[in-house]
Amino acid sequence: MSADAPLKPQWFQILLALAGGPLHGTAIMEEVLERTDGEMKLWPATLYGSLRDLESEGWILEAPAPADAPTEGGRRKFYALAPEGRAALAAETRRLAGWVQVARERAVLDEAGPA
Amino acid sequence: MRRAPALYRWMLRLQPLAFRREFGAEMEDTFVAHLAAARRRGGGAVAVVWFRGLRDLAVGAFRERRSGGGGPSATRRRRGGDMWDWIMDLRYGARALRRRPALTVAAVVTLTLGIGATTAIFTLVNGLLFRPFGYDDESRLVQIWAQNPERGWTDVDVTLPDAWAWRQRSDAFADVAAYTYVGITDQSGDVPVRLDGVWHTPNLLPLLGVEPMLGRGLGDADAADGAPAVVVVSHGYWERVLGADRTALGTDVVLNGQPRTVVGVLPPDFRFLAMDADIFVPWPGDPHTASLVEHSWNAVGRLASGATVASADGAARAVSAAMASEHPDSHEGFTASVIPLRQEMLGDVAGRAAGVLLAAVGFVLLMACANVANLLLSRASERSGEMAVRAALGAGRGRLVRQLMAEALLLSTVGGAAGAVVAVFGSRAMVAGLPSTLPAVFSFDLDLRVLAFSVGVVLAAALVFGLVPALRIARPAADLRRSGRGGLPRGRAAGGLVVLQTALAVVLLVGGVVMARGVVSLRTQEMGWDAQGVLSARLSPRSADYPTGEEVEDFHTRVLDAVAAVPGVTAVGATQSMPLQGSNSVGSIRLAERDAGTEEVPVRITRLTPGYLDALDLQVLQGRDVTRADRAEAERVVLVNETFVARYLGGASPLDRSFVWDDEDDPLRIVGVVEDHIERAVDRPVEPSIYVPMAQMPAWTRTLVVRTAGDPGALAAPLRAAVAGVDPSVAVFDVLTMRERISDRLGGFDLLAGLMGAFALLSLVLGSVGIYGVTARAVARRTREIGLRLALGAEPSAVQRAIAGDAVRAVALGLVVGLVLAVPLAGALRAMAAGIDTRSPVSFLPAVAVLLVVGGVGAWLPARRASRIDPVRTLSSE
Repeated sequence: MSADAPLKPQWFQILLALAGGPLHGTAIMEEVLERTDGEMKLWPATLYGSLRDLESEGWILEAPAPADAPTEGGRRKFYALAPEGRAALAAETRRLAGWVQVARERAVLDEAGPA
Repeated sequence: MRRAPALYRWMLRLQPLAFRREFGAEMEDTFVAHLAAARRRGGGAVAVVWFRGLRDLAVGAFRERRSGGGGPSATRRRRGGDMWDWIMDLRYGARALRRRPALTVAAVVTLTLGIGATTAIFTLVNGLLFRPFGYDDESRLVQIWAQNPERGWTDVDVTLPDAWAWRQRSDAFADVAAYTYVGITDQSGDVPVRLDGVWHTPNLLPLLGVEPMLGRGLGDADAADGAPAVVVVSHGYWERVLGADRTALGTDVVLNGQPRTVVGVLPPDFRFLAMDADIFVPWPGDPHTASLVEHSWNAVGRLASGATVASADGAARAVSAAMASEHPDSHEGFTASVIPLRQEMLGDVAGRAAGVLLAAVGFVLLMACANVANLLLSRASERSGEMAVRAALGAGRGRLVRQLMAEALLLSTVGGAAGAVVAVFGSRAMVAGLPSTLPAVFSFDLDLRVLAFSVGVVLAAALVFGLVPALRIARPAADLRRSGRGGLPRGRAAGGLVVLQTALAVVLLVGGVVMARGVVSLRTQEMGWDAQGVLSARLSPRSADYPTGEEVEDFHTRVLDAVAAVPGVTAVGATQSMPLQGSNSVGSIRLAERDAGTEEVPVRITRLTPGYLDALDLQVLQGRDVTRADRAEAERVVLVNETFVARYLGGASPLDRSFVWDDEDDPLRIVGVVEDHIERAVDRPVEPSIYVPMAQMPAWTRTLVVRTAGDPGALAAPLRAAVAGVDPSVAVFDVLTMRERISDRLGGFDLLAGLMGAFALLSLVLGSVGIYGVTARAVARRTREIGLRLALGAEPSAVQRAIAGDAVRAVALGLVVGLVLAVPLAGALRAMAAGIDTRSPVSFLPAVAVLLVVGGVGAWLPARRASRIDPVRTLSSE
């Protein structure tokens, strides 16, 4: 996948969540949910399909579970951001930041009410 | 990790197995987290989570399966199948079929015909063999016949004391009832109406297990001395005559001049055995003391638990033997036989006809499948590329075969659905063409059995026509490099298809020809009489109104005079029976002069009035016709037919010879000889017959036979008016032209022949298309080879011969196989259409000739095309 193409929003959010450190699937979902004020709900099939795809892209890696992770009812799989993933996230962030910069220059937020 | 609710877990199964194995548990965990978050938010959030969560599963599953997961971890190495794979295969198959509309339409049309015809025939077979009569535990119902091997009588009606003896003396029967069909004149309305009725012992309906829909059934009390006259009526009668009035119970109806109270109405789906009877009247009195010589009852029994047909047969014989020793005068030589009720109703012909038709239509279906298989094979080379690509992408052979089978199943299902429409109309037309002599108890409505059968046929057809092409097309040898050239090996399957199709077509053609010849010979058979311009009608004056023979004779004479006066009538007479009505009786006579009166010989007896022979255009060859002078008190005279003279008098002059009839004292003098003619049925040989003046042996119910120069159907109304002019209370019924009677009696043969003919035609079309298709495919496959040969200097005619030769050899082999198979079929058909020599080569030669022509043309057309192949173009396309 070329770094220029826009990322799928859920991929962006997953990568963003993992930028803070290794997480397992449910934790990624919860982090994204919280950070987006419930706007982005990562439903299970979408979430794990994306994780599987991101892993096969080489953007994320399976990470060892932290020693304190609960293990009841099966082991959760933890993911960490791979260097390629970090690069993709950075590229997407720059792309978005570019648009944000343009919007600022045109004072979009000043007239559109509350930030 | 937390487990999700059962519904979610269940829906998880939609995911491909590998995905589910890898992520299932965590997906549950995540969903539970969603649920927890939603509960915190409250409101309808939980419902939204459920909805979105399940939708996510469905969409996700679809995406996973279609895309193959998008990554290497999307392992799809699964064996066997689950629902989803089939759905995907079907979707893919539908697309594949849409891409080849011509093939799809041809295959569907072929299958529609095959499956439709098969289902329609099965509807018939189902009605005859499987569909319940609607009685309690029908398998335990039997018919009991009297037999008298000493006198050569088979399947004789029984007497009431016989029936009661079996009922009471044998443990083999839980119950035995007796019934007889009677014509009943219903005078409840303005115009007397003739109805079919059943006169029976009161235990008949309980024995069958039939409960009335309204009111009560009949019991022993209804047959007791002085019991009120009651009747149970059919649902149809209740609707037609009693206005479907639920308060009609207790109404009096006038039947045969006697008022009877309606005490019960039978359910709408009730069908009595041989006849769709409206009126059920209990026979009054004690069957024990009834006549010992009136063999006029049918006995139906229910086997006791533990009894079998064979054990009941033995038991009935034992009882009959006891009866014979108790009543030697009436019962000497009589024994009994027991036959399952359905077998009795079916008779000898109907069941066999059903089997023959089912076999024939099965052949048609097989041919249709062979053609579709060939169609699919014809696309093998075109598809081998596609298959190779899919195989290269990781699809195993099993997967490809299943994919192709899904296509076959789609074709078959669509063909089956269209075939169902064909079957509904086809079976309706067939049922309309069934002979009226078929017992009323059979019904041919579509039911679950038919549905299950057609589903089975659809699946079986898909397997038959789909598997060979699927295995062939999905052959692992088909690799990408060769895909463009269609590198299929030369198939034995193709030659096999031609042999199979030819063989089946031969069988069906022979069947069609045999039946067509049978019907033609029955139709054009010399009846002896002339049906043109003849109308017949029956009248039945009541014995209460005309108590003596003289009075009834006088009534009928006045009717004959009145009808003779109707304009257009050229001749009129009456009989107690008439040709094809099948109701003339048998008796035995002793030829007085031939042998001192010891030897009895059987004869058929017809009573007739003057004018009857003229009305049927039957010639008196010697002597005279009966006249009005042959009155009751005059000398007893009789006419005989030619067969009588030939068989019993050795061809000697019969006139003025006399014989004694049964136990009568007065001898009967032969005064004339009538030409031989068909009497009982078109397929029965002429029997020795005697013709007695009606006045000397008066019958109450008679058949009028009227000849006109014009349209006999137009005579019906004036004839009714003429009878009403003599006595308006007498019902006129069974008004039929002689042609209608013939059609009626030919009904079964006509239908059978029509169907066999249609199958023969269909087989011809399917066979020729099939032979052409296989040969054309062979040519297409060998285009390069042929081009090469031609380029190397082969003669086009030699190429033609080589190509056509293959097909012709296969056709010839098919002919041989087909002829071998056709012999037993022809034998079975012969048993149904008596009097036709089905083994004569005339039945087989047309089939062979037609198929040789069809096979030759089918082989030659592609062969000719092959010989015109341009070698340069063919080879340069490499």
